[in-house]
Order: sequence, then C-alpha cells, then structure tokens
Amino acid sequence: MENEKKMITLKSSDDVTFEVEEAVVLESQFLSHLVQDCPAPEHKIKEVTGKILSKVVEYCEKHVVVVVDGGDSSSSSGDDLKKWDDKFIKEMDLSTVYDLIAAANYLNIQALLDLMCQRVADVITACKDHKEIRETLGIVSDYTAEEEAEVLKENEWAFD
Amino acid sequence: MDELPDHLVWDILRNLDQTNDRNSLSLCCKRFYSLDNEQRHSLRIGCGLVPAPDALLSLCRRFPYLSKVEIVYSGWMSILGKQLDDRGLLLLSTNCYSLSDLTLSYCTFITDVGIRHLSSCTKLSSLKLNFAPRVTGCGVLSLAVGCKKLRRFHLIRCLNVASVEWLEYFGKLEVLEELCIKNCRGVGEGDLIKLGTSWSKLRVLRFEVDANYRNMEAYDQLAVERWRKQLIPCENLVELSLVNCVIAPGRGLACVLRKCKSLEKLHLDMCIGVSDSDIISLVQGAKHLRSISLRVPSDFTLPLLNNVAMRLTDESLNAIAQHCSKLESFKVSFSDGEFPSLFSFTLQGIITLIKKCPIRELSLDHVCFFNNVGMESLCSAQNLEILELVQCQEVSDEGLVLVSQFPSLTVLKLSKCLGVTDDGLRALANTRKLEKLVVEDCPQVSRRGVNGAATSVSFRQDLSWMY
Repeated sequence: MENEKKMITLKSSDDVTFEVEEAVVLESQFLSHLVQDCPAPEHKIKEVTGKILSKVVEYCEKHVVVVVDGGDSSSSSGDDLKKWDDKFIKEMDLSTVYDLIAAANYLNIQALLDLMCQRVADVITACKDHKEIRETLGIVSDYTAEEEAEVLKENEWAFD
Repeated sequence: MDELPDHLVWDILRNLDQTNDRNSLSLCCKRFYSLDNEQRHSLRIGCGLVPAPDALLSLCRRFPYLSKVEIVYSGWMSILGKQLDDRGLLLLSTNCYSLSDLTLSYCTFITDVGIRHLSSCTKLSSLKLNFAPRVTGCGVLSLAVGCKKLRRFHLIRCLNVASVEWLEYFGKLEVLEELCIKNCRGVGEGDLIKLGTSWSKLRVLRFEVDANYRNMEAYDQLAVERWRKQLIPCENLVELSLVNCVIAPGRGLACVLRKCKSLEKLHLDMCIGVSDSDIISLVQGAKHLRSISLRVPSDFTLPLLNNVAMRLTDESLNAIAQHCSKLESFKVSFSDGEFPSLFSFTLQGIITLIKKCPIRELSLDHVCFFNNVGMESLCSAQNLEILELVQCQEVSDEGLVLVSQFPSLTVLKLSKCLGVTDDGLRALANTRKLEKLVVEDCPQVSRRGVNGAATSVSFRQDLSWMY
C-alpha cells in the first residue's frame, strides 16, 4: 500500500484554505461523511470563518489518532493531551469559545464541543453571584425588580 | 452567548451541578431561568421551606423534571415555622411526576398517612427514612405494597416500626437490591430471614442494632434459638455491613456469611458470635473480597453469649491471607476495650496477611501487639499507599523511620500514639516521601515536628483521652 497520505483542502466562509490530512478531517463526523460522499479535492464550509476553522484544524490535528507502523493505533498520551487542551482553551476569549461551540456543533466534533462547553461552565462556576455571571458573559437582565426578588425567594427554599 | 441556539446553551449549563451555581444562573435572565428549570433534577429542602406546602408546590411546578428530592429538617425548631407534614407528602406525590429518589430526614411530623401517599409514586426506586418517629410498620407496609419498583430502602432510627410484615412483602417482590436498617428497635437480626427469596437479589445489606437498647434488654438466648436457618443463597450480595449484631452459629446471619460468593466489602462491627469457621467459609467462597473491616468486641462485652466459641483468631487471618487475592483494604479495631481479647489475632497473623494480600490501605486501631517488627514487615508491602495507626502504643520512632522504606506509601495517619515523637518525624521529613500526614492527639509530637513532613500536613492535639 502506498504510504503517501491523502490530503484534503478545506475552505472557510471567508475563503481561507487549509490543507489537512484526511485522518484529521475524520475527527469531524460531518466532514467525514462529506469527504466520503463527494470526493472533491476541496470542500467549502460556509458556516465557519477562517479564524475559527484554523482553531478547529489545530485541535483536530492534535487529537487525531496516530496510526503507527505495524497497525497499532495510539493517541498522544492522555496527560499531555489534557495539558494541551488546557492551554488551548486558556488562550481563548469567550466570543471565540462561543464560535467554536457553534462550529463544533455544526461539524459534529463531540470532544471539542464538550471541551468548550466545560470551559464556559468553568467560567460561570468561578463567578461568585449572578451579577458577576451577567457581567462576565455580557448578559442583560430581562427581569423586573419584582420578578428578580421572587426568583431569589424561591431559590432560598432550596439549599445545597 | 445570545447567538447560540438553546440546545447549545443547554449543553453548556448541563455541566453545572452545584446548587449555588444553578441558583445564580436562574437569577441572570429569563432564558437561563427556564433552561435551569428544565435541567434541575435534584433538590434539597428543609427548614427554609416556609410555608412548607405552598413552597413545595411552587418548586414542583417550577422544576418539572425533579427526580431526586431530599427533605432534611435537622436543626429544626418550632420558631422556624411548621415542618412539612403528611399533606406536603400528598402534594409531592401528586405534583412531582418523575420522583424516583426521596430522602426524608428528621421529618418528625410525617405519619403513616403521609407515607401512604407516597405509595402512589410509581416511579419511586429509592427511599430513605431517617428518624421518622411517628411512622410504624403499617406505613412501611403500605409503601412496600404500592411502590413496586423500590430497589433501595433505608430505615434509620424509626423507633416505632415494630411489625415486620413489610419485610416479608419486600421479600416476595424480589425487587429490593439495597436494604439498610439501622437502630430500629423493632427490627432484629432474626427478622431478616423474612426477606425470603429476595436474599438472592440483594446487593447491599447494612444492618445495625441499637447497642444501648441491646445492652438494656440483655441478650435473650431463647429468642436466638427460635431464629431459623437461612437457606436462600445470597449470590448477588456485594456489600455486607453488620453492626452490633448477634451471629448465632448455624442460624440467621451466620448462614448469610457462608453464602455470599460475590461479596466485595465486609464490615463487621462489634458483632458477637462471629467464629473463625464463619470467616473461613466466607473467604473460601468470596473470591472478589476487596475490603474487610473488623471491629472486635472485647472480653468484657463477650460474656453475654458464653456458650459459643466466638473469638476470631489467626485462623481467620490465615484464611483471608490464603484466599483473598484481591484484598485492597484491611481494617481492624479493638477499640471496644483497653485490652484486646486474650485469644484473638496476633502479630504473626497480621504479618501473614500483609505478605499475601495486595493491601493498599491498612488501618490498625488499638492493636496493642502491632510493634516495630510489624512496621518492618510493611517494608515489603508493595501496594500499601495508606496507613493508619490509632493507639498502637508499641510502635516507636524506630518503627516510624521505616516508613521511608515502604515502597508505595503516600498517606500516613497517626492518632493517639504514645511512642512516636518529633525525632521520628524529622527523620521521615528528610526523605520527602509522604503526600499527606495526619497527626492527632499524639502527646510527643508537636506542631513544629510535623512541619514539612509531608506535602500536606494536618495536626491536632487534644490529650484529654489520656486522663
């Protein structure tokens, strides 16, 4: 069998192109179906911008299962990968995280989706109260003062 | 965040499980409020629930998918408002449609009427009743009849549960997998046989007799003689915990001990009448035992039942050593009296066990014969990670410094040990071996002495136990 790896070109909504190995593309359920069903050399992904797609590619390249000669499959060791994930998410602002959540959902990359959702959850957990959550996530409250007081009262009924 | 569709925001919020985080979420905005309402599956309520019925009803309406509810009234005083009563349980059973797991703790207003309301909760699979003094055996029976899916049942300090027809009923259903009965004076060891064929289904049994009550009653030999032989095998039993129980040879629980092949966890605490032959037949069958914890009654407790040979000896330990190739945790305590029983375990028995079993956690409490020689034997315990010594007075600094040679030890706990001093710990500190060190109430160890002896150190000293 030829050892040469098959390359695939992905094009973002703003026409940035990425050339990646087929194995990397297979991390995405959506793309692996796409590649199988229409064997074109280039695939346009209309829903994802170049900035976000570069992140997705970076993530998938890191996480791709490396097929070692001899047929054994192994991924980079678990601890290293986790450290890499931590670094990967720490460098990101929240709006990128949201875009990545949408992209991971669209491209159907469950592990990336989970990682990003956990990231936002961690940000929320780090907040001390609802005011800080609103501030951090940029949420505008749509409660009236009375409604908010009512929810507060109900919340006090239930403890840890 | 606003641009993400609901199902993705759902995925994010799903990762939050602390109630205070969830409460904060619900206060942020209406979108989070309604997502949180749908995601909330468990609720813990109690003294703050005022007025109880109305508040409960609005919580049930707000969180439509609640499946786990804990109602805890510990620390309640009348000034805090009326407790949830039978009517509250009626509201719960008619408005909380997914209820599968309910805990009622210190709900002293609840009577049989309330418990009967619960029998209409057809999805209920777990119920814990902790201190419900007005509930009787009739209430529990109506529950057994109604909740056919009940797999886990805990009955703790329900002093008025005297009749045990409900045990028989559970026995016939063969659904129960976990049964915990603690300090219910009306239910004795001899009653457990009523579980009948359910014994073969049971996975976890925890049974605790109220020790003070037992001592008052004095032990009734005639009653024991009426106990029947237990014939049903207990092949699914994984965890067995018996506290203050009487084990009469050839009857009741003694038969259980010999019949549980799948047992992984055994805890016998102050059980009178357990014999070497019980333990030997147990370990011969139970190949998967991972944890054994024994608290042995002293010679002063024993004479209550003086016609039985009921001291555990090295024969038990040797059998454990021989058969339990998966034993990870071993705990033994003689804390009942000042001196352990005369014909009980010896150092040799403990050493044999340590040598043969892959022990990861060892705890010795009041084991007065465990000395520096015993510590030396631990140098060859490849898997030992956690060691706890409580009132092991024969262990001195000479034994303590050997800890640095234990191959895998990371956690050391010393409590009320007279023989160990700052000097021993200093020698240990230099080896940087321990991740965690806990020293409690050791008179010759000072706060300064423990400093730097492990990555994490905890120190407490209350010497009142010595006087």
